[in-house]
Amino acid sequence: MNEKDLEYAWFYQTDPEDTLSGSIAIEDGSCISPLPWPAMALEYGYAPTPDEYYSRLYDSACEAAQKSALNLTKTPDRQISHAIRTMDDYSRIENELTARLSEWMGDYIGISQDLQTSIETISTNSDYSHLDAHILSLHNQLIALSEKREKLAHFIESEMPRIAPNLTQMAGPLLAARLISIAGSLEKLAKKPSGTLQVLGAENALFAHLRGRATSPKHGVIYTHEYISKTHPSLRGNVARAFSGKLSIAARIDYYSGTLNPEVHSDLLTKIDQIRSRDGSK
Amino acid sequence: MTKPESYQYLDIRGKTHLVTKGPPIYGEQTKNGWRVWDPTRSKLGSVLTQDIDVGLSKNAKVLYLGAANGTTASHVADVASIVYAVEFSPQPMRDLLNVARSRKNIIPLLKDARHPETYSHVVESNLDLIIQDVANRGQVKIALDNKKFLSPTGKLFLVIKARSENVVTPPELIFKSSIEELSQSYAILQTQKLTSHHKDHMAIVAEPLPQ
Ligand SMILES: C[S@@+](CC[C@H](N)C(=O)[O-])C[C@H]1O[C@@H](n2cnc3c(N)ncnc32)[C@H](O)[C@@H]1O
Repeated sequence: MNEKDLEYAWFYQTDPEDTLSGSIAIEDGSCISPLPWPAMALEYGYAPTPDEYYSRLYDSACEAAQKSALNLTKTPDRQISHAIRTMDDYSRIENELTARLSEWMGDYIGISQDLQTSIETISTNSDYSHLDAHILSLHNQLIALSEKREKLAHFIESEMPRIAPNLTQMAGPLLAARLISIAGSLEKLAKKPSGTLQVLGAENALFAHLRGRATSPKHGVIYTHEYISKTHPSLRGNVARAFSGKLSIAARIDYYSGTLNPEVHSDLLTKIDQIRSRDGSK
Repeated sequence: MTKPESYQYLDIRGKTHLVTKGPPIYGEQTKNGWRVWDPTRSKLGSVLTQDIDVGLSKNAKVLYLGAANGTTASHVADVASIVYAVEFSPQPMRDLLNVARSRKNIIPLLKDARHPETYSHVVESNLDLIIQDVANRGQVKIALDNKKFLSPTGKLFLVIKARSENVVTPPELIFKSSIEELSQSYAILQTQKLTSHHKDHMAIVAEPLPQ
């Protein structure tokens, strides 16, 4: 038996008693061509008999397939990313259509009235025209969109505490979901340094409308949180650093343990109070 | 893991059925531990009932590509000594894992048959039979790339689903070009159009050509 060939075997240097190590080797290993593995395993001493070899292979393979099948079908963080992106798409489209509607109404009815009154004026119009119908249909579309957006928001709010309890507690369900979605997954978010977390979303045009006009494009999506928006502008940088530091700890706890840890949250609040009590004008 | 029985035919309630011996899994009819292999639910079963030798002999070592939820694979496992069951989609894999619970000779592998190198460190060489039913583009290429698992006397049972290759080309043309392409590395022993339950499918039995 060639020692070099043996190195490719799934059972090479795996513990026969430990299905986990076998399952990892099955999942991650590779080899260009198959070899008579059962005979080699016997010679190598991995198993005393062919039946025993197949039984160990069976256990490890079932564990590997089980785990990766679960990972692939149960990726709630990825599903929530789609939900929040759809929600943000709805809200962007709503903004665009609202601007369009206001512009149209202003030109049609005059800008003196607010949107809602103008819509009522049109819908009660006695000589109801095709034009009126088109404007009303645009308005109905906007209402339908905002209902859909709210339903998605409810869904995200109810799912997030299970998916990432600490992140949700700290950032709120929607911002927490946005962070996961921009990072790509909870795992990726948990593995990012806190400095990256602070500017996450800054490069993304989709979040321009969430940021509002006040903040510069180098600011990430966490600047929409009131911890920062309600802080004096000169202190926002400090709060953002503290906030993103704790958020990244929260993401790690969520990814690795998944249980709520009240301490990180009280730590953050204390820290923010400290920063805010400094004089912002200096 | 030697098997006492192979597949056979048995009369159940006045009808002759193809059967294998093993624990039932999908509500199939049984008699004395024998379970009916429904040819309308299994392409391999359908070909066997047409008396075609596909190389599924007792105690065979089998590589099954596209095992799906394990309906056919469970019958194969009743006959074979070991079945390496490759399936790349997680949803059917969960069902397959349930089937494997009652059949310890099924080795489930959540792998992509287009990349045999990702399971060549697990699946042994010199197998007696490859069963391939992936219903996916590039079916012949998959058969060619997996040939290295076969013993020189082994066999390939390949199901070609015409619509998986191309929905506009007539199935006849797809079958013809598939057979041509396959003939580079395999000797075709038999081809068989499947019955109405498996429309636009062709089964091919082949032997590996020496390199
Ligand atoms: C028609 S079904 C097989 C049915 C099965 N042979 C039976 O009779 O019970 C095709 C299966 O092949 C799987 N499949 C398709 N492409 C594959 C690939 N490249 N690698 C592994 N499995 C694949 C699909 O996910 C699907 O479950």
